[in-house]
Amino acid sequence: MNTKPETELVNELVKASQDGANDAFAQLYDIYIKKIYNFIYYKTLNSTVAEDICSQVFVKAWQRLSQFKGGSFSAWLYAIARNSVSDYYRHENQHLNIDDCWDLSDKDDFLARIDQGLNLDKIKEAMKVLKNEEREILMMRFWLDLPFKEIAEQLEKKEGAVKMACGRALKNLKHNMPLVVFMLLPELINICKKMN
Amino acid sequence: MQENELKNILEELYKLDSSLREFEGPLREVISQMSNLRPDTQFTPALAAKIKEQVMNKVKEGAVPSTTAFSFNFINKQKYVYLGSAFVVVLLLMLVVYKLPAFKQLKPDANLNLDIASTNNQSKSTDTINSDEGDGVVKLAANAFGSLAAQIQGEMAAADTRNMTSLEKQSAMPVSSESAGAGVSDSFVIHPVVPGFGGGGMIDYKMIAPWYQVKYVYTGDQLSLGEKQGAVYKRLVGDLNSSSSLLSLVKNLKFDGLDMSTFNNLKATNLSLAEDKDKGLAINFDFLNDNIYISENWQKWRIPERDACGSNNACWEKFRVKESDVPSDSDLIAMSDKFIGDHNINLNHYGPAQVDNNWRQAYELAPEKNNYYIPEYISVIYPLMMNGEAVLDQSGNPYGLRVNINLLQQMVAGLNGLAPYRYQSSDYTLETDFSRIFKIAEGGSRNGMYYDGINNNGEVQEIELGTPSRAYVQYWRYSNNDNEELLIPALVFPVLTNSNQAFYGQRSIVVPLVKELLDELEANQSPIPMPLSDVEVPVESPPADLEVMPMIR
Repeated sequence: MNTKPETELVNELVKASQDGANDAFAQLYDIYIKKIYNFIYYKTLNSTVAEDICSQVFVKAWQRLSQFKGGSFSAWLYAIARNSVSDYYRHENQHLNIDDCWDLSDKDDFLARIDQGLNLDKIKEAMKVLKNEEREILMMRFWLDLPFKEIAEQLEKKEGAVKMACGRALKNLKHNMPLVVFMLLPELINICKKMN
Repeated sequence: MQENELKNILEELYKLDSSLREFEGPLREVISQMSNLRPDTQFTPALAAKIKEQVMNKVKEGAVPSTTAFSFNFINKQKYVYLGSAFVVVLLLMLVVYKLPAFKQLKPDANLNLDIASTNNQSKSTDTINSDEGDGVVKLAANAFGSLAAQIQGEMAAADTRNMTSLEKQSAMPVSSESAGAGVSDSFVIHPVVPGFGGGGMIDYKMIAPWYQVKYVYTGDQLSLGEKQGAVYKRLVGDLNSSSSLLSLVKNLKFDGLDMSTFNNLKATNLSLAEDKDKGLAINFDFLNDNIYISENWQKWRIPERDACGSNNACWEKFRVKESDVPSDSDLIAMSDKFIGDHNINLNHYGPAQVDNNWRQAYELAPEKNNYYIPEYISVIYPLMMNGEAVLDQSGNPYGLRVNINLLQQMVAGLNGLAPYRYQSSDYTLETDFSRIFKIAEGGSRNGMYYDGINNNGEVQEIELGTPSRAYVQYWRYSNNDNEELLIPALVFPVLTNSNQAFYGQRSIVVPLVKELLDELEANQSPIPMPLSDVEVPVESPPADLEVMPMIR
């Protein structure tokens, strides 16, 4: 087991990958695959699509490694993932300005494109009121369980700005959630059962 | 979610916004629900292994990382020939690569700092306090570039003159205030375009776009600005030694009796080369501005069938770009990356690629999409980076290396904005009072307010401005009969409101942080003059059967 701090290890692996070492890149993959896959899934809610995009993200990362000039490798990787999801939706939706599945305008379209059994159609109404970045911050904090500091790093923002945005997003949700939660209650119980 | 964790999150949020305490109950519920609604991603080790196999197969198949060495070696390839004289080209090219100090940094053994110090004859202040603060940047004493305020009058609107040739730059010299007309300079005229016609967006300035009176409202966070001094950068260009070195070869040549030695004090300003092959490219070196432009060698890109279209509209129609012809952003970036990699262009000083999709804004608003003229070229931009921050133009668009892709041919057709990274830096006093800055942003900064001078029905459109981000912004200063390119620290306020009823092009408001520029801006932010309703404005109307669509610049 490697005892080096993760950032130091990552930096070494990035350097070796840039020099063409496939095995170093494979280790980077192992470190980040779960985070990146989950991040993509929360933006697509479709396992087939998430799998395809995830594969593309790591291939692109390999191809563009020479362009990575230091800083946070994970922020760079998240940026590739975010852009790849946007590209997917813009390509699939006649180039409308859609960043992720939460932007799909039509409820039926949203339901048709997410995995069956997720029953998230009603929370979509609440998520829709949020800006893309606010939505992403909530996903990262409450679904990916990333601390604010790390979210700030991934989004290349100051920690205070991320917290402010999170507070704003929660305030917005506060106005939209109660009804949603009420409507969702039976579905919520099912989801919780599944998760347990 | 654990109670402790929930409590920690709330405490972190209260520290920044204590008003949230009032809603603790609902917030707890919202956070709990958000957490409980976390979708099951169905991630398993088997899935990770499956994706890994796909990725590593592609990696092994040859998706190798591109090399990082920046060189202009591509110029040395045999496929490039000088139009008219292959022999001369080879000699000149060797000189370009090995003699021009401006390009010496491209060679691994070049000593850039010495080059700058010894050959820069444009630097007025030589009070160097630090010979090099990073590769390609020489730090000078504070305020070394003199007053920046005067540049406001001299700068050339939001035009991206780095991407112009020197001749184009000369023709784009600032004009007198009278010729700008009614106190409205070219920088904030939205140019209209006639959909359905070619010509790459060439427009008639007399066809006035519908302007709307707007009111900017800042809705972002209050920021605290602690930086009292900040670096301003000036790009170093031109070097007389280089052109005289180049000319030493040419002066002994005789072209059909013309003796070059009979001319005095010659200076090379441009060198043009072209690939003599199908879909060949033309490469132009601009020695005055130390820029390289690559474009189509148009003779090698002709489409005979289209050339023969004449007045047959149905024929022309076949060659119009359709939306389905536009590749996805990732495909465009991949094409561009390949071109960059193939020619060993160094991206050390440029940020991640992005596609210039400005045309889509007008396209989405076009009532008849079939009639909309989609440009034949689309650009992939690698924003110039300075101190880790992206450089923007004065409209807030990324500024840097642009790779142009021909959508009809689905091929890279050239690039512009490729320039050696040579700058001087000097510290200037920055504004720390954020309220002053956002008030200037609410006044529209340099561009002021758009005003519907033709169809004013009294409607005021409210535009929200979000929390700004820090960036460097490219400015032009007209000084000593030449334009100097400066990079100024600035705050960029994103425009959050999109109008559904009208096209509104500006995506951000840029406010410089340099104090003396703010003083000048404030002095110039006078109300835009109201048009005199009794005075007939001479406007050339477009033909009745054409629909005029506004277009972003």
